[in-house]
Amino acid sequence: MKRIFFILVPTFFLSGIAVEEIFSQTDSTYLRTEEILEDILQEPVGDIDESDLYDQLEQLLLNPININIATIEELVQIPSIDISTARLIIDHRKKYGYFFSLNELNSIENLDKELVKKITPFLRIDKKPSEVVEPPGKMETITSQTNVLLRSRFINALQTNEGFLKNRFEGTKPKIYNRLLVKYRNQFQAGYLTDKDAGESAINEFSTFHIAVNDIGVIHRAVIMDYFLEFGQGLTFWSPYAYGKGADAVVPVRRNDRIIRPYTSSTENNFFRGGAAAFNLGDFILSGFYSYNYFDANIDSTTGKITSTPVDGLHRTPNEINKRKTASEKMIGGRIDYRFENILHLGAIYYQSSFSNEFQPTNVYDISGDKFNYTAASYSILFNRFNFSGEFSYNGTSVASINMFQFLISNDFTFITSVRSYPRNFNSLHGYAFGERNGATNNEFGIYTGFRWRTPIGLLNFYYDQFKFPYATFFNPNSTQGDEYLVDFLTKPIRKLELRARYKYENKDITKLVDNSKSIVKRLRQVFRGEIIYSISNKIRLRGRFEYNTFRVAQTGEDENGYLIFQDVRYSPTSNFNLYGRIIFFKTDSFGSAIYEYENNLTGVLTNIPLFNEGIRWYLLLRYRPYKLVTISAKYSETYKPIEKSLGSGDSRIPGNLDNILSVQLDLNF
Amino acid sequence: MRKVFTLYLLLILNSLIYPQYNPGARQISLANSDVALSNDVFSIFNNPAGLAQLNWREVGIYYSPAPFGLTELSNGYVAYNEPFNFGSISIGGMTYGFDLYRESKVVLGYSYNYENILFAGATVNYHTYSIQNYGSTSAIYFNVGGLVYILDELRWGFVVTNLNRASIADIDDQIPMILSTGFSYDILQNFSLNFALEKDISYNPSVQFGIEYDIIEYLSLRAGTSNDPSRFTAGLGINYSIFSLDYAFFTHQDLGLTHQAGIILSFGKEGSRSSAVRRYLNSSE
Repeated sequence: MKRIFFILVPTFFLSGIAVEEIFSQTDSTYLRTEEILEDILQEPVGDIDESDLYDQLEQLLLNPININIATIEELVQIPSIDISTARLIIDHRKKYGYFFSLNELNSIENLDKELVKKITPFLRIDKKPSEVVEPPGKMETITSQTNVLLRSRFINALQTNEGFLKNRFEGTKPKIYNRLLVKYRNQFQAGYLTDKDAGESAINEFSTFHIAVNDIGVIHRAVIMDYFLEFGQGLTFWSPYAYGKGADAVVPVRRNDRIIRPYTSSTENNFFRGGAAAFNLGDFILSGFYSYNYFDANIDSTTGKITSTPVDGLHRTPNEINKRKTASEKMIGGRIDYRFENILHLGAIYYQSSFSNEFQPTNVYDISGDKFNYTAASYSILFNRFNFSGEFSYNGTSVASINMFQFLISNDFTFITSVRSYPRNFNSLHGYAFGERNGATNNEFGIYTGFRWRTPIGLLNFYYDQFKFPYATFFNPNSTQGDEYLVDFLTKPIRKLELRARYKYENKDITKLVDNSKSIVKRLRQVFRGEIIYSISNKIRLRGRFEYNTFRVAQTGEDENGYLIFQDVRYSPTSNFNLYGRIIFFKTDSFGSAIYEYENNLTGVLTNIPLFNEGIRWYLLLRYRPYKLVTISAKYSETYKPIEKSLGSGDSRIPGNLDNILSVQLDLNF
Repeated sequence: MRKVFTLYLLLILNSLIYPQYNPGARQISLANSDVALSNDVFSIFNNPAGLAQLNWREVGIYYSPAPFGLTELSNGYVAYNEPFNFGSISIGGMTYGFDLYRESKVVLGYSYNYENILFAGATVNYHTYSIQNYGSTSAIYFNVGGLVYILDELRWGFVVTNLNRASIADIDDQIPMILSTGFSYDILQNFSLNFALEKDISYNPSVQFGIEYDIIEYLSLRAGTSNDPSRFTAGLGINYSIFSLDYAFFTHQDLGLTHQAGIILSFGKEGSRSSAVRRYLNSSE
């Protein structure tokens, strides 16, 4: 409770002096952000908390890009903008001069109107680009350009799970999240965040703090305290989450690094604590970073070696509390970037890490030792309609690489191909690269090919990915491989009506017990989806979906399927009130044929829920902004499986067949 | 205690053999694929949203004397719809069973027309079950539905039955929770195709398909089919003056043939049903 006070007091103090709101996050922004996320995330990547992706988008919304000085590299930071779109914008600026209003985007030929709506919240206009680097003025400008954003979130499961029933958890049931961000213009930002998971005792069980600076004098970017790094294509450094293969065949494949980013996530591991800064020196950017941070680890009491590094951030049981921040990493490094106009970007990076304890490898290619160093180089060349980009990373024993080629055949057709080669003995400590296994950077070779084609009758996305895991892994005793492709077609036959059809095919080696011996078998998985979205007016949008999913293993005779039907309504009678409702009926043969369903949630939360066995799920979500400064949102959701006796497993097992959750969030923006 | 047990047993048995299909005879002859059509008074039992498509008063009676040859399963329905400026109000009733076992239901519905594009409706159902010498029990549940005109000829409808997941006698899921969604398309002014997908919380989805052809103003022919349960349905309607007399029969793969009939009285409707609806929606635009 004391902590909440600590957060609230400065907020109210500042609210008194805040005069004018420049923060442009209107209510329609929520809707746009959600639509962008749905585009990118609809092909689920597993049961992970993707809220960090939302967080990254929010950071972009808070720091919109100045369209009048943005480079192609900056513009493509915005999800759903690819190089061809960025080019159109920049060509327009070159031809007609600076933008005076974002509405001008609508006049750009070949730029999709729907896309314009989606990207506008991420852009801003500074009419005189030279003013951007002007130093801060008098006191009144400081207050009028200061934004304070406070977010408090409370999530409570209404059913009590086994962990609480059997008193295994030390803490209380609700999950509580508080975040305070203070921003001045687009140049300064400070943030403090606390998070308590269900079953943890202290409200600040996890807390993070940062002060960040952007574009001041020679400082390109700098962060004190908590941050994370991004480099090239993510082999060496990346945030703990990134987009994977999805319904958009082009955008998620190529990464656009931001060098240093303040840490504003509630994921408790995998960030840096210390300081990092990047300086502009003509065409060069020089950066340096240092971190000393503790992380969760299970340490063998006799050898003193790290046996595993749990990243879930849960500290509920005595066991979980014991592994809390038991090991530390000291990391130091530097980086140099060279940019030549919009054509060339080269980067080189070096860092070394030393750990408090050695890693205990479980197999020969596993991570071992306590000292690591990495050297990496990245490139991106853009000329005419071609883009080549990639990264090479060397860990002292082997080199991992990813290279891609993007070809803008016309304004309506973009082709991309990417080749990744991650050797068996390359382990990246902080990388998160593109691949079949989300983020993994070792033991994979893959070729991805895809295109996005805006045909006269609709938008067609297609990709084909072939992958191979050349060496044995913990799960597979031998080399394995697979391939997959996805076709997604979205059409608007008449105004207000969107139809979508999707087919995904995946054929992959997995290890199964056949006649009591482990053997590698082919698993064929197919997903069909049909969707209809009808916007009756600006106020009401209806949506229906049918999805069918099947997987087959010929050798074991497994042949399972599942399906889902849902009906969804979004009602927004006024710009400050949104109501969402959805009801889903589903049935699958087992967890294996589970269907993932992405759904709307409180701002900042993403839910991608696996639905399996038989039952229904429904939710109601309300977002209301009674005053300019206040947004209240609440969600009630319920999953009901009539024939089950209990839901979940382990500590999260719920007796009974109903799982319902109530969440409430308050946002204050001054 | 035994009394209560027997009551439960009967209720469970009832839910397993649940022999009723939603009325009326027209809906049954279309294999209940009318979730996006829903333009007569019996829509109160199917998709209440559709009732606001009618700007006239309507009364209907439906009777199925002996489903599958069993007079014990006979059931009857009545429905009434009254259009107002603020939307349509409807009332319906149902009775089913025989001396020993009887169910009855009273339904109150409301349907709203939003700019002739979106129709939204909801019903409150009060359902009573009674068994001779054992007493009775009841439940209240809600249905919510929607119907939209994507084009003048193309409609999309959906309805959720038993939204509040009510049940009877402390046993879950005795009243099914059902999601139904479908499309209705007028190939010609007097020829419509209907397609629906219906998912009961604990059964496989049923795909339903039906066609309706108004050969002349006075005569409509209908046919349909569905799977899970597998059915073939057919029927005809005779429309004269304020009367619409409908007859339907269907064959259930396991249970055999059933006949049913109904009559609807429409006050203020001119011409065939589909043209009257079309005229109403176009005139007030």
